[in-house]
Parts: sequence; structure tokens; C-alpha cells
Amino acid sequence: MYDIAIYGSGFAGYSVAAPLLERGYSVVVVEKGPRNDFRKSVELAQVISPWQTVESAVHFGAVEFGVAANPPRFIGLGGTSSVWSGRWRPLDAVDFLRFKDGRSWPFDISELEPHYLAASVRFEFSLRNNLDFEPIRRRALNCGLRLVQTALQTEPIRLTERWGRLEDDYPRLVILSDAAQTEFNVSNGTIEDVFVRRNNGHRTKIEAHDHVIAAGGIASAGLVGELHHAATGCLQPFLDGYMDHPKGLAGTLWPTRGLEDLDELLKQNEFGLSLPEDELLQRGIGNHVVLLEPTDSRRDRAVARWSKHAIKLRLSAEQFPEKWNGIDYRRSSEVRWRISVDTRRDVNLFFRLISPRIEALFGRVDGKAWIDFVGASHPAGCTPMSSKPSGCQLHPNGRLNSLTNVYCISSSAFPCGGSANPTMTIAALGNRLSEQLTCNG
Amino acid sequence: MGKFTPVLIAGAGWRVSQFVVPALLSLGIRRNDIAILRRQLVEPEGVLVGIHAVDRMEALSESYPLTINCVADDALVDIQRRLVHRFPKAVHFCDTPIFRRWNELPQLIEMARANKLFSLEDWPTMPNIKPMLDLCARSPNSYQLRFEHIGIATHFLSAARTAAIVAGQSQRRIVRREKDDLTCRFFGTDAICVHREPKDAARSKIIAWNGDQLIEDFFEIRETDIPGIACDDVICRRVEGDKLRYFLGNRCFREVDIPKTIMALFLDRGTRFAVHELDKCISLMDVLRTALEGKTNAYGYLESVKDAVASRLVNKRSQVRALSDRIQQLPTRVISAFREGRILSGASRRLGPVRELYWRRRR
Repeated sequence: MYDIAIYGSGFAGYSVAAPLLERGYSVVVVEKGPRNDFRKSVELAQVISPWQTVESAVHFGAVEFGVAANPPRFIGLGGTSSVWSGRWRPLDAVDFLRFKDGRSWPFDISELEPHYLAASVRFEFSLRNNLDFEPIRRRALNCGLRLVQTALQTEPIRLTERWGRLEDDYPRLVILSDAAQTEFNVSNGTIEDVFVRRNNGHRTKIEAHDHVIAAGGIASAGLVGELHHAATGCLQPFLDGYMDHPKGLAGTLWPTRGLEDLDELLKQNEFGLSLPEDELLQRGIGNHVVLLEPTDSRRDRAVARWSKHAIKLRLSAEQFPEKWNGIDYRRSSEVRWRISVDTRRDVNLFFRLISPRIEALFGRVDGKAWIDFVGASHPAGCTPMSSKPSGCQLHPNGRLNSLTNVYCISSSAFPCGGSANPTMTIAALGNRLSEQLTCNG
Repeated sequence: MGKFTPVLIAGAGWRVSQFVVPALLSLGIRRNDIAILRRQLVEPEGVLVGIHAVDRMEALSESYPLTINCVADDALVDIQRRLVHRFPKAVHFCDTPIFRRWNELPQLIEMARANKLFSLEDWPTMPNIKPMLDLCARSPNSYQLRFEHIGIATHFLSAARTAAIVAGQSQRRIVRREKDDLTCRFFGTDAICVHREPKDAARSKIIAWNGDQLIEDFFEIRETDIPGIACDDVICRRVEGDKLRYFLGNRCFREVDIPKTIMALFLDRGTRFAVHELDKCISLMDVLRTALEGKTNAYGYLESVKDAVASRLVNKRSQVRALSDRIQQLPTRVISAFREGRILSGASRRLGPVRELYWRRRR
């Protein structure tokens, strides 16, 4: 009997497994995808999207395999993180204070802060706390702008290799990849055992004290829905509240002032601009962020050069949970997702408010009448945590409402998603759950 | 239609078998009321079975009140000229893209002046476009109408022109290509229509937006209702027996009677393009119905000619090269503007009434 069974081997699964293994727990990881077959991984990653296409904004190597142009995620050992690079960014305090469509985070940011720190240590990045930026931050604040900090992961993280190292170091780790079918035996409000049939025909029985669903924002929601159905007999086929944080070109900046600051920000490429958190909360506007992108790919130009070149303003938008956006997990993960009129109005209001402030700081801003959004493939929100969970919602510790020994820590657990890349929060939730499971004994 | 209405179709290609004949059959026209003029007499297949076919115009003895020209584009103008000459009192429909060679342009313009010559353009009257055009009319100065990853430029330009007419705007417009986007702006407004390429069934959609209201069509069709999923801003089609209903949210804005057998021609493929083709077929039904009833309401032939000229002049490099093979046939002014890639003011003698601005961006 294993201590923990984890379904999914991405950041979430890894962030639970690694600390538990370090503390001497036995862990079995069940992964639907292959270990080293990208083509197969891309094939498995397809979802049906009758509305807006659910695809990755960054194609990585998927196109090369000719299987699909834009798969939403890779599936395989390490999942997306087989080759992950992006912007590490925690959710902001304002994201934890939202109350939207009856949803809110059941705790505030202080609960996750130590786990954000643990995630940064585990994945070896740091959110720069550079005093050099304080003057810029102050000048931005004087114009009514908030500087949003990220950490850019330029060298891709390869979780496949990290899992390999864990296997070498901890014999109590077992990885079952190519799991074609997973059957859960549910009784008396718990998972008793699990049968995993692998692509090679082998059937393995798993018994574990606790089970952790960490299979990504789409597959995790499907698993939670199926387990809820098995436990209660109550079918909830459409899980609503699907969120992404779409990105699109919102306008152009023609810099004429504050050129030293701008040059510094562009060189670092780790900052975005937003409105102050109080104002966002007060006006009920999403936590959207404007990222500065020079039209020239070279970022280390002299100050004078910026004054002659336009800078693209790319907006990373927050989507609030909506009842129309969701997952129908009976239909091989049909993801019904679009950018609604409410999101567009919200984004337009945000941009109307932020444009004059950016103009005051750097120069003229030309906004676009239509922002051509593309999904970031950061699915979230279909099985949210709640202080009073019902149906497929989760308890504040990530435990399923209807099963006592099953937890979910993917981005589907987010009640509100902000506009940050969810990876850091997923890793933090994983670390938090590992601590809780350790405390539970 | 109730009364005996012989229809002559020129051509027997994909357009005829997939759209024209299914539309006529759906309108209740009998197969023996349809005649097909085709290049070669071969054994008919699919929906063409049972329809009388001839391979020479001389073999047509009857007088046809309605002709539909869908032959291949190299013979389109020639056949149209002969049809107009042979059946001067008929209502004539000519398929887009209308013409192939630039030296056909004067002929076309002359023909367009003849009464009862219409374009078989179906985009402006597609049922799903209607609520979007209404939205454009509500905000004539600020709407965005976007056709993404679907259709060709000529169809798009016809829809854009219709939007301008519905919104009560000037039809004088600037058509411009920027990478994958073909944009169409109208003088004196901030309204814009956009056509995005390339064609891609998985990503295709139509959007109308006025800064406050949004309507999107992802070409969704359902045979069973999914409870609770009827988004207020999304167009959805629902098949109920022999009826096809168009919904915007929970509001049904159009109901069409169409036989299941005809519907199956489109829906069996299960792609967004197939649903779009069903919309086109229904649009053709609407257009042909008005023609058969003697009060034709269809897209103008001359307008279609203008759209075809515009799409040629601003189209992608490959098509520009094809055009330059016949560049000697163009007026000097067109040639120089074309070669230099600068703005072309369509006021040359040869272009005649095609007075529009085209802008092909230098690459």
C-alpha cells in the first residue's frame, strides 16, 4: 500500500511528490501520457473546443511533429513542463479578495506566501527584489500605475529529467506512465483501490492512503467530476467557470519621456503595468496586466532608440468565472470557452483607465478598438475551492467534497485566476498539500 | 413554389451539386423543372440524378425565366453573355468570383447594366449574418465585423458592403491588406470589417462588436438541446425534424424548413465549414425564392464585380503574380500603380464605374 497516489506528473504532481519523498513517504505516480514520446503526447493533448479554440499561445515544438498545430498542453511525464518556460508570477493579493459569481479563495495570500517561497527554491528562480527598481516603482505609483513583477524562466524546465532524478534518489517512488485507463473503486466516501490498465496491456492495482489529482486544469476537472458521480450518484456533466487569461495586442506606445525608466524595464523584461489593487477591487475590474514589448526583438538598445520606435502593449487579461464557459467531461473533454462581452467591456474599461497613466509616464498611447485575444492555455476554475463546497467544489485544503481521501491541486481548483501564469500557484498549492498530508500523518 | 417554374443551371460542378440544386429542391422545385447545361454529358451522380442535362445551348428549347450560371471561371463571362442574349427576359444569376481575365471587365460592366442580372453571392443574406448586421446598424460609426479563417475575399467584401448599406454608410471604402488581414474601412466612420486568413475550420468564426455589444458565431449546430447552455451572445443552430432554427441565446430569430436529406448533405461532415455551407445554402434558398416569386432581392452584379476587382488588387502575392501574366491587358495607370504597390484610385477609363480605393501594401 502506498502512502500517496498522484494522478498527473506536471508541476502540481511534482510539487507534492518531491517533499513527500524527502520526508520518507511512498508515492505512486499515474501518468496517462508516455515518458519520451512527444508525438503521442501531442495526440493525447487534443480537446474538443466548439467555441474559441483551446490552444497553446506558445507552440513549443508541437508543430514540428505535424500532429496538431496548437495543442493546448503536452501530456506525458512532466506534462507541460516537459519543456516549460514562461513567467513565474504569484497571484496578487487582490486575486484572493475577489468575490465573483459566488466564488472566492477560502484564504488570503498570506496562506500561500511561504509556499510561493518554497516553489521558488524548488524550481530555482527568484522574484527580484531589486532596490534599483524602487525609484521607477515610485514614479509609476505617482502616475497611478502598479509595477507587476514576474520572473522570466528563459531556460526551459524539464520535469522529465527531474522525475528521473527523484526515481534514482527515492526507491519508494513508482511511476506508471502510459496509463490508458484508470478505474477507481469508490465506496463509503473513499477511494478503496484503483486499477490502472496501461497501453502495454498490463493491469496494476493501486492501494493508497490518499489520492491526489494533479492532471492539469482540464483533465483534473474531468476526474473530479467522475469521482463525484461515482461517490454520490449525482451527475454534473458540465462544470462551469472555466477561465483562461487570454493575451492580445491592446495598443502601441510611442515613448517620448521617462526613457531611462522604460529602457530599464524593457531590458529586464520582467515587469508589467497594472492599476493599483485597491482601485481594481473598488471598481470591480479584473487584474489585467499590460506587458511592454519592443517592436524590435533586441531589447538592449540605447535610450534614444526607444524614442524612435513604437512599443507594443500586450495585455494579459483576467477572465472571471462565467456560467457559459466550462468543461463537458463526458464528451472527451469538450471545452466550451470564449471571451465574453463582460470580459471585453472590463478590458476596455481597464485600458481606458490605464492609457492616460502610461501616457503621463512614457508618452502617447494608441489603443486598438478590438483586442485580438488568444488563449494562454492556462485552464482554470472548473472545480474551485470554497469555504462551503458543494457538488464538484473542493474544500479549502483541496479535498473533494464527496470523498475523504482525495485531493485536487490543479488550476481547476482556482476560484479566481488573476492574470498570472498559474504555474507558480499550482506549485505552491502542491507544496501546501504535501505539508498538510505530512501533518495528517 | 407551387407553380411551374423551369430553371436553367449552367455548370454541374461542386457549387451546383452542393448548393444550387439542394437549395432549389428545398424550395420545392421538381427535378424535371430543372435543366443543366454542362460541358460534357456524363452519368449524373448524387443530387443531380434525375435532372435533365444538355451539352449545347442550342439544345435548350424552352424559355427559362431563371438562369443560374455556375460554370468554371474561365468560361463564366462568355456563358453569361450568351445566357443574357438567349434569354433576355429571364432573371440571371452569375456565380462569384464573377470574372477571371481583366479584359473581360468592360463586357461585365456592360452586362451589369442589363436588367435582371444578379450575383449569386450568398454571404450578405446568410441567416447568421442578420443579427450581426442589425448590430452594425445600431452603431454605424463604430462597429467591427470580423470574418476569421473562413471564406474568400470576394465573399467578405460583399458582406462588408452589405454591412455599410444596412448601417446607412457611404459605400466608398478603403480596402487594404496587412499580412493575413484584409480590412475594409468606410469613409467618415470608425467602422471596420476584417477578413482574416488562412482558412482554418477549427478556428473559424464570425464576430460583430460595437464596443459594448458582442455577437459571435462559431458555427455551432445541435440536434439535441444541452440544458443550460444558451449563451446570450452566441449564435447557435438547432435541428428539429425538418426545421432548422437559429438562436441568439434563447431567442429564435430564424426558422427554416429544409428536408432532412438536404441537411444531411452538410451535417454529415461535422465541421464548422459544413455548417457554414448549410448557411450558404439557406441564403441561396432565400435569394432564389425571391427570384421565383418575381421580386428578386439579391446582391447586385456590379457590386460583385467591384468586390472581385478589389479582391484581385489587394490579394496575396501568388495571385498578384497570376494577374501580372496578363498585365499587358491592363490600363497603364493600373499597371504602374500595381507594380509600385502604391494606392490605386480606381477611376481609370477601363475600370469605369468601379470607383474604389485599393491599397496593396509593399512587401
